[in-house]
Amino acid sequence: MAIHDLFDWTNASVGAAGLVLTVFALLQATGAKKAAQQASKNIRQHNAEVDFNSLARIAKELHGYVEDGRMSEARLRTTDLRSELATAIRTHGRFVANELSRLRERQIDLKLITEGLNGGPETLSSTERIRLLRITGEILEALAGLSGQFRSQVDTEVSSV
Amino acid sequence: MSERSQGFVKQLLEKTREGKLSWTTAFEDGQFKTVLPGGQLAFVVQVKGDVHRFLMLDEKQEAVLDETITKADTEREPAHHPKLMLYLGIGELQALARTQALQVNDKLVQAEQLLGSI
Repeated sequence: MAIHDLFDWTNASVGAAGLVLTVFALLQATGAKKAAQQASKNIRQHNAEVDFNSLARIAKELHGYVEDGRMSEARLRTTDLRSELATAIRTHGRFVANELSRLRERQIDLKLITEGLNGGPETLSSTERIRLLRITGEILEALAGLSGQFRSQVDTEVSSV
Repeated sequence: MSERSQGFVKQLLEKTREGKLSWTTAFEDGQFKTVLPGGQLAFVVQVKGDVHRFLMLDEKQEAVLDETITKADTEREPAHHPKLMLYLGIGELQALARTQALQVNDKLVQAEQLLGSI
């Protein structure tokens, strides 16, 4: 009887230890998976930050050209910004989902600026020049803001690890 | 295409009056734009001199509809002709969009109050 009990207890202990080990291994695997997922998210967020930072740089150049009245350079920069912004929205759609409507509005602005500038700078009225300066300033602010937001998110998540 | 555009202009007029659409100034003089929620479609309306323009843009900023009508285009048209109706509709929508985008009514009330307080 005593031997049978001992055998039962040993069996149960081995089973419990196995379960604990399995749970521990599972937890470790889940933790590793979570860590890998977080790392992957951080990398994608960092890429979004780099891309939007580069967009903000183009927007800054565009704004500068408009300030200096260099409209043919501004037109070229508008075209660059349009295509780069479209690519960034497609690539980082998940991260910019909350800002999508605002970014679409900026894309419309850029399309209308391209059209307006295609008519030649001499056709622009003084109010259009002022408006162009304001709109390009707003585009710069929006893109720089997004880049900063991504940087802050990456910094927060990295420091919390 | 005029009749199709006219239908959209009518709908935009209704939604704007109901306060469901938000218009903002665009680059050119007399040009206003609105982006539908989600950003899939945008509308642009413009009155520059006697040229009335209506644009519908998709999410890639391609012009799905692009109507430009001058006063001269409508002068020989009979009443209720789609082109004439669209010309008038664009004019009405642009005026409404302008009022909303520039917050004309609020500013007029503010001006009256300021003048009254002097």
